[in-house]
Amino acid sequence: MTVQAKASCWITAALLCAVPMSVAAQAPDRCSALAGVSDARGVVCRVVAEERTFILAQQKSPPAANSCALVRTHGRLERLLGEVVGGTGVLPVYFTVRTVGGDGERRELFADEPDAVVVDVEEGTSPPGGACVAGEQRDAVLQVVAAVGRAVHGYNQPFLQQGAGQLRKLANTWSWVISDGFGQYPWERFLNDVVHRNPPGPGIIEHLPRYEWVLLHPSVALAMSGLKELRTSRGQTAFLIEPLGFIRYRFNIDAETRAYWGASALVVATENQPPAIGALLRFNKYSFGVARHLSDNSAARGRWTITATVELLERLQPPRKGVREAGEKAGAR
Amino acid sequence: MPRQVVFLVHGIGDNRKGWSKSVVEYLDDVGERYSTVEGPISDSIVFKEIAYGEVFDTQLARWDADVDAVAANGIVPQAKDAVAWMDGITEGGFVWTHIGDVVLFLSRTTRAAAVSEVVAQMAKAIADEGDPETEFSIIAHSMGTAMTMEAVNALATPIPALGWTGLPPAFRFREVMMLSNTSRFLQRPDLRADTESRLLPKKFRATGLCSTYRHIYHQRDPVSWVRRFSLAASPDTGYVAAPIEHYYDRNIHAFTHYLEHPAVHGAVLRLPRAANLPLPAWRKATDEYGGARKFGGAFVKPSEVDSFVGDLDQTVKPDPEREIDLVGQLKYVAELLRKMV
Repeated sequence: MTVQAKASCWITAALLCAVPMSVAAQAPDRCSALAGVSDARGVVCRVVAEERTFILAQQKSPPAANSCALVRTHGRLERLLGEVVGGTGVLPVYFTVRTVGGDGERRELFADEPDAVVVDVEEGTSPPGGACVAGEQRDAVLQVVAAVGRAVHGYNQPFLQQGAGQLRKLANTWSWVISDGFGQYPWERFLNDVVHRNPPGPGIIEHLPRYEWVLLHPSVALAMSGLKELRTSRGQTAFLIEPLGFIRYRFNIDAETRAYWGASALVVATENQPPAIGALLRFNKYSFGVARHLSDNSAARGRWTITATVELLERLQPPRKGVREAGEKAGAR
Repeated sequence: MPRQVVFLVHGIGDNRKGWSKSVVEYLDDVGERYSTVEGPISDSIVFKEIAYGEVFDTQLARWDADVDAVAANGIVPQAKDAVAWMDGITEGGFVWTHIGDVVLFLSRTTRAAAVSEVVAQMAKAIADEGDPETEFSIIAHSMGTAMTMEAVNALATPIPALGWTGLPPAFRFREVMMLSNTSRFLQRPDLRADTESRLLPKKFRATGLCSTYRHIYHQRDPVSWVRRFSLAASPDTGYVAAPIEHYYDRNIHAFTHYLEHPAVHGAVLRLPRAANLPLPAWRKATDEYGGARKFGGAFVKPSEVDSFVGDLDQTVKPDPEREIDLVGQLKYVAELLRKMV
C-alpha cells in the first residue's frame, strides 16, 4: 500500500470514528443500551484503517419465545477501489452498506456490489401482534450504518465532483466534434456508423472518434493556378468533391485540446475549366489541395490548380499584407 | 424525509434551456387539486432540468450552413439538387424538429454527444449533493426515455482513463418514470433496454439502478407504440406498467398531457411525502381516469374525442415490431404527430 493510500485509510477511519460519535450524542440512551453498537464504532474505525474487515455486531435475537430469528450484523471491506490518481492524492474509496431484513422494514442505504464494504443486518420476522426487540436493535445499528454512510459520502464527494468535472470536459469534447470537428454530411455519418460499431456494452461516451472516412464530400473553396497566388490572390471560387478520404482525430481531454487532420482524393471544378483531379490535405479548418487538369480537348490540359479554404488564406495572407503595408509606408517616406 | 431531487428529461421537439419551467408549473397546478398536498410541489422537490437539444441544433445548423454553401455555388448547379432534401433544416420545419432529433439520436456520433451532455449534467447534480440521504428520481419523456436509458448506463460505467469510476456502487434512483417510453424503439443493438440495460428495478435485476420503474404509455400515442417496451416483471419487483387513455389536449403525446393523468402526477406528488396523496385517494383519482375515455380541456363533447380517435385510426399502421421497417415506422409516427401537434 502506498503512503498516500495509507494516509487515505486513516482519513477514512477518522471520518468513520467522528460521525458515529455524533449519532450516539443525538440518542445516547438508546444507543448505549444496545450491545454491539458502541463496539461496532470502534471496530469499524480500527478495521477500516488496518484490517479492512469489520464486524458491527453479532448476536442472537431475544429468546425464541418471540420468534425472532438470528440478528446478524457484519461488514467487510474487501478492497479499496481504484488507484491514487496521479498527483492529486485522491483515493476513490467506495463502500456498500446494505441492510437485509426479513419481513420487517427494509432500508437499503446502498446497493450491493462485490467490491466494497458490505453491512448486512438480518432480522427475523416479528411475531404476530407482538413487538420484536430486534427491531430496536436493528434501528440502532442502522444509525451507525447511516453514520458510516454519511462519512463515506463525505469522503467520496470530492472524488465524485472531480469525476463529474472530467465528464464535463468529455461532454465539451463531444460538443466540439459536432460544432468544430470535421463536418460530415449525413451519408458520411451513416458510413462511419456502419464501419465503427460500438463495442457491446453500456459504454458509448468514452468512444470518441479516432478516425473517420470521408465519402463524396462536397465543399466550396478558392482555387489558384500556382503557389505564388496563394499569398497574393483570393483566387476564384471552386467546387470540390472529395470522393474518398480519411480524418484522424487527436484529443487531450484534460487539457481540452482537440485537432484533426486528414487526406482525401480530390476533384476540382472551376468556372470555364474542365475538372481537375488531385489530392487534398487538411488540418482542422485549413485544407490545401493540388489537382491537375486531365481533359484531352482543353487548353488547360496538364495545368495545375491549387485549392485552399478561406481560413487557410486568411492565415497565410495577413502577414504578407502587413509586409506590403510596411513597404508602402517605407516608400512614402 | 430525505431531500428529493428529480431530473426532468425532455423528448423530441424544440426544447431550449428553461424548457422545464412549464412542466414544473403544471405539476404545481395539479398539486392544487388535492387538499392533502402541502404547498406547491416545487417547494418540496428540487427539479433539475436536463437539456441536450443544443447538440442536435448545432448539428442541424452546421448542415444547413454547409448545404447553403454548396447550393450557392454556380459552377456545378446539379449539386444544389443533390442536397436540396437537406435545405432549410433549421427553419423550424416539423419533420426536422421532431423526426430529425430521432434520426440524429440514431446516429452514433450525435447520440454519444447528446448522451455525454446528459451524463455530465446528471453527474454534476449527483456529485454536488451534500446530503447522503438525498433521493434522486427521473421523469423522462419520449426520446428522453431512450436518452435516459443511455445516460444512466453510461453514468454507471467506469471510465478509468478519464478518472470516472461510475456511480457510487450503491447508488440507486428512487423513481424512474418513463413517459411514452421509447427506450426499446431507439435502443442500439449492443444495449437492449430490457436485457443489457441497468436502468431496471433492482429487485428485478441485481444490477438494476432504480427502486421503481414506471413504464407509462398512452394507448393512442404512436411514439411509444412502435416496438413498445415491456418487461416480464411484477409490481413486487418495482416494475409498474401503466397504460393510460385520456384526452385533454390534441397532442396526447405531450409531456404535460401525460402529467395530467393521476397515475403519473400522483407518483410525483408522493415523492416528498406519501401523505401528500394517500394511497386510497391516489387509487380513487386514477380510477376516475380509467374505463370510459376521460376527456376535457381541448375536447368538450365525447363525439369530439371519437372523431379525433377516428382520424388517428385512419392512418395505415406499419408492423410495430419489424426492425427493418424503421423508415415506415418513423413515417407513421411523423404523420400522427403532425395530426396531433
